[in-house]
Amino acid sequence: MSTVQVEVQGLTKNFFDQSRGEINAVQEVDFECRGAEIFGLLGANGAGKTTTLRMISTVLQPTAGTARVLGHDVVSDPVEVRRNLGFYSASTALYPRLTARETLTLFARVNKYPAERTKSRVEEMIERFGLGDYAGARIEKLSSGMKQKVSIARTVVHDPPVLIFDEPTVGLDVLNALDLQKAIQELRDDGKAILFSTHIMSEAERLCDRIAIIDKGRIRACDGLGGLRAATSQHYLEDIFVHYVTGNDTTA
Amino acid sequence: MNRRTVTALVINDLRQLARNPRVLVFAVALPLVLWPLMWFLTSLTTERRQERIESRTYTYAVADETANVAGIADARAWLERALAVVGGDGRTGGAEPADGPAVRFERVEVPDDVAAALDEERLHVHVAWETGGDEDLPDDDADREAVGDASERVPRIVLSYRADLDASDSAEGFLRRALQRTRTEVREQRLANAGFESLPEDLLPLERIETASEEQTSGLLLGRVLTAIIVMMMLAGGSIVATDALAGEKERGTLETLLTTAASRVEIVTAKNLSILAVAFATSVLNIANIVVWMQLDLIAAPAGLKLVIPVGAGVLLLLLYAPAAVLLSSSLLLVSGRSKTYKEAQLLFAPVMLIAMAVAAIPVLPGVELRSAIVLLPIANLGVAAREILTGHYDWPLLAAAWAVTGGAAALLARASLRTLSAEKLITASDTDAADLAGGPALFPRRVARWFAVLWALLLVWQLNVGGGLDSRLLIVINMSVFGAAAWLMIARYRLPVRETLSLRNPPPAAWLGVLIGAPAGLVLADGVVRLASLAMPIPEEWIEAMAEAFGADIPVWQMLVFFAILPGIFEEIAFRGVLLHGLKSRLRPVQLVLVAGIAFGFFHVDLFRIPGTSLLGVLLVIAVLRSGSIYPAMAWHALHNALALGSARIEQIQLPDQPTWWHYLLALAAILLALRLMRQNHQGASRPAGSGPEGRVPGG
Amino acid sequence: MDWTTIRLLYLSELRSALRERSVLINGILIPLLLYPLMMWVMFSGILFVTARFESFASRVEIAGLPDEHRGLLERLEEDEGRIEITEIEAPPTPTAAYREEVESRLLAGELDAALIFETSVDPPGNAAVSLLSNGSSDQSQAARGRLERALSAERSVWLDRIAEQHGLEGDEWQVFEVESDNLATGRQMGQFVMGMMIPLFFVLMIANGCVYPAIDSTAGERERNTWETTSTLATRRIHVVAAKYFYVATMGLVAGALNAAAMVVSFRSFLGPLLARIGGGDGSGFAFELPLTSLPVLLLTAVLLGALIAAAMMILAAFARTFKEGQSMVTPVILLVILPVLLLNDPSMSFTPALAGIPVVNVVLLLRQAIAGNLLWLQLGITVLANAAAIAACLWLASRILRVEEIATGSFEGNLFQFLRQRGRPVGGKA
Repeated sequence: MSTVQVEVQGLTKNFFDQSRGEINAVQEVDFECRGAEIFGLLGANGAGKTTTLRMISTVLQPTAGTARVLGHDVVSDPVEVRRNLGFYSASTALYPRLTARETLTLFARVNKYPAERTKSRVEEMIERFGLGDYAGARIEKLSSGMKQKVSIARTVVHDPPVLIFDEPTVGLDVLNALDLQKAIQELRDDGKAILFSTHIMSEAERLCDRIAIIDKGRIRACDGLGGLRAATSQHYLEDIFVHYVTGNDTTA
Repeated sequence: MNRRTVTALVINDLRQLARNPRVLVFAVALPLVLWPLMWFLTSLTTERRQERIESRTYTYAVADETANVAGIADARAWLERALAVVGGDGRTGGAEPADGPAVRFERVEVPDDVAAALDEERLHVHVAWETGGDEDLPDDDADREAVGDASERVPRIVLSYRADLDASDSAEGFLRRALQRTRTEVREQRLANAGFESLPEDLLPLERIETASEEQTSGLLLGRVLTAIIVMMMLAGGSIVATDALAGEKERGTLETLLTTAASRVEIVTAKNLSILAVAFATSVLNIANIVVWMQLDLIAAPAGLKLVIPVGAGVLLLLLYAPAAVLLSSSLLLVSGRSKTYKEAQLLFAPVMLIAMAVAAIPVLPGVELRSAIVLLPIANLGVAAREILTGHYDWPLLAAAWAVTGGAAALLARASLRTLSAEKLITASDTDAADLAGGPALFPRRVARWFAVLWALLLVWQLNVGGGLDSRLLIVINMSVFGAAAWLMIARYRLPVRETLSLRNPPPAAWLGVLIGAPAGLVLADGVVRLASLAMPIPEEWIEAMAEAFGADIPVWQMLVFFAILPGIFEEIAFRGVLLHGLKSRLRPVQLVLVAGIAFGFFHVDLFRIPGTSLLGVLLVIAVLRSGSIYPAMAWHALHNALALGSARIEQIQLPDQPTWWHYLLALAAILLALRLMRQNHQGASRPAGSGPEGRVPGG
Repeated sequence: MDWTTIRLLYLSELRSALRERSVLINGILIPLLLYPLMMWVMFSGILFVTARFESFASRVEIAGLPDEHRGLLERLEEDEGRIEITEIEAPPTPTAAYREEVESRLLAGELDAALIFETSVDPPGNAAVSLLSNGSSDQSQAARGRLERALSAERSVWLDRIAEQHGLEGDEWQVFEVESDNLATGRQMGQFVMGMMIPLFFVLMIANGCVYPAIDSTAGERERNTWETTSTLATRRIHVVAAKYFYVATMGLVAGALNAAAMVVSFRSFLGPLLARIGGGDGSGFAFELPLTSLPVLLLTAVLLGALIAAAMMILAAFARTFKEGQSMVTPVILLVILPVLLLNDPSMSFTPALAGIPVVNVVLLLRQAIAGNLLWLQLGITVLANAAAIAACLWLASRILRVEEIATGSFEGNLFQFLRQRGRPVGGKA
């Protein structure tokens, strides 16, 4: 196993809402993710997956606890964190009036990729994701499958060691979802540390090296699929998930 | 901050805009054509109107000429003479009169019903004769004064017309001016016949000597409006990008993409500001160039007498001066954009920003505003006044620097605020639906309270100005107070507010009553100071003071004065402002903001411009009193006592405020106020026991 | 036509409109509050400016005043309370150095204006007067005005004295008087002012009130993805469109009516007192009351205009797929409405039957006459016919457009003009 790339300790997030009062979205979450590993966060909608990942990507500030990416703290050194990070989610859209090539160049530059290598890196990405024929067309004219490819290319164009995929397959059809899964696996094989969140059991089962089951803001279990099966003596992830979410519920 | 990142982001923004032909056409190209076109059409309309007025044939009728009026024969001759100049009896006027064009006048028979003929426009002017010097003429008649003083047996020519009918109004104007000139000529002739050798126009001949250069006088004209024009153009241009900058990105989902990149928040805000500035600057230059081209083509006329020569040095200084104003504007647009969730919302919110900015930018129009005054503290307005002074050739360096720094500081503050909108987590996470929205009730009230009071203010304004003047001031108070009471009751009922908590119906600490006794007179002195201070900036006209004195007229018995102007407002205004309004605002504002907003809102309800400063101060003090004592009763007592003292000081000589209070009066008052507010402090060991049932404690009707 | 369904859809549109902030603000709040607020600001502003001007203390210097004109000083002190006069005993011919010194003090702002008298021989007491002021200072301009008025009064009094010395007295010197007698009542004056302003803003406000509903009920539905829900309703598409059209027209009508009411109220509250203040009279010169006969005309024209503008806007907005697109597409209608507003701002324009044939323009002129108390039946008839014809044409075009599948579902890319060009070709070919 390679070194720890992402390290999360006691991460907590409370929101305050004028009418609903305090909401504990994430409570004392601990985990770590190494290079060449896909770490899955599995949980229902509203369990706190997205909030956790957004804190790691520095979009949200943690209420308590720490998260480090390559040793950079998300609170004290957010820019360095984001530089070493690619964030992909269904809600990170692309500028419709830019072309694919312009999009990749923009994000390489904004992510402070070395200027002299930017051009060759963009062309490399275009080749790798098979965008060649469309690289000059505006994003608004592309099909959703093509848009998704550009989006992944945008996520990795600055060659970050850590990648975050927040429910990436939401709203994709089966073939596009499979394409995306394949791309994620390839990225892991390149040695990237990948944080991956989903509420789809089969996806987690197929992709993740280790899985954290998260419910009501807390991690209920965190292990490889084998370990989870052994601990619960259930075979299917779905059953394992139900076991942890309903059985261990002591906080309510 | 990384220059490369910022450049990449700015280029991205500009590229997006350049690829949006629809926005370019409607926001940039169309105004370029439209404004000159509108200007052109307006001047065309004016020209056509002038032509129509001059080419029309006007009808006049002359009343009974045999009437027994002294000097009628002469008067007839003068009328003939005047008509000859403007063109009577179908002839076009021979010589072009000095003060207007020649028009056609045609005489018609005197109709049976002159008023009806005028109404149907068969007749434009009716000329009648009278013997002058009657008593029925008002002494201050402006028309008559221009012609001469009445004396006995002077024939008077009466022109009857209709000012609301265009032709009749013009005809009267032509005829009256011609008659007046005739009169002057006759006089000169008579004077000459009597042996006076000089011409009347040689008496005390006046030569106007302008000491300022043409550039300086034009500079004043330009300086008054330049800032407003620039602000308007910058806002119009900047809003094109600003709607898209954060709100549009949020709507499209690209903002989150951007936030997960290595670009820092400062870099993003800087880049967005630069994009807005670039587009605003470009469109402004385009607009100015456009106007210059149209003027060169003579399609629109430049204002007469305007000589624009801005020395290079002053020009550079102006550019430098407007730089922080431009940043301030772009930051405020960005702030609005960042605070709204959608493109539509951002557009809606731009309107108030533009209104406020324009109001501030229009301050240099006010006569006699100098930079060396409090205005230097008002961002944008200070630069406007500074620009005016520079254009008239005054360079007040220390204050220029101060103005620059103030506006620059405000710009920096706003830029920081727009930075915060990027980290405002609510915008990314919380959904639109809200439990309070669904359930209604007390939780919703804080968000609606501003709306309620805005409507109330509008109602009060319309009512006060429409009907107010004609009513007895006591009745007026009763109606106003019922409106406040009813509104408070409505809000409490509608949002099911807890009455005791909303209105702070608790027993105050006993020392609070002492605080009231000290605070109310001191507050009056301090309010007087604030009014005097405010009158430096906006002088109070004498007639206003007289009108106020009359409104609280001396013919009302003292006990009634106390009831209507002290006790009633003390109860009902407190319930509305320190009760419901304060309760609604409490959860949304920080203490200092709360005190200021709730206090000044109270001031604005005293619709009258000159009453706002003093009543705002009272509002602020009363809000503090309620917040500190946790009870509304001391505030009620304070308010009533304040009003009573104010009435008393106006009525009774003995307790009148000194005419020229010195600074230590105010200092003393301030110290007393602080003491009073200190005494108000709630005793936390159980003093907040609920109040029993003071008669005034109950909510009206509820 | 299935009126029950149309009514149902219409009411649901109206209900959701009343809950939409932008529709409420543009359709109701702005017409209702804009004028009172605008006029309050104007009123307060003018009050403020005049008070400032009055408050200026003018520092003036008068040099070499001949003894015959001491009255000038008294007049200045009496009439213009806030004035500080420094009198200089100057030699008969003030030196150039003195003038230069005065000029430099004026430029430095130490002095606001100066009068220099240079005594001339004839007639005795006469002098050439120089009035020095600084056009780049507001205080100086105020001071110059005060001196000019006082001097002109002094000249006229002196002339009277001279006439008396030459034996001209009484009517021989007064010659005659001219008195103007305005027979228009305060009501008529008020109606004149209202007639000039209300119709123009009325038209603009109806257009403004239509904009948001027109876009919201077409492009907005598509953006919110409710369009498909609506088109699966068990009713014909034309009924849905009719309901939307009535709703847009209603919003325009309401906006126009509210606007007219708000304007009358603000005229009464602010313009009346303001005119009184400016005119210096007692304010009885203007009474802002709408004649009763103008109310039906106002209502009729509101209905006509609402129906016309709504139809025109919906044709254009039908092509929009997003709110933003919709906004730019309806802009031409607003421009078309603003044009007559610019051209008709002229009281000398009379309402001929020919002008009654031009939609929108005719409404402005008709209303102007109606507010002034004149009902021109011929023009009224032509106006109704012309607008009805325009509405019918718009509705016909709308029904043609909405019959096209792509436009109804929102997959057509382009605007009205592109559509007409496209459709125009094959139709022309067949004919």
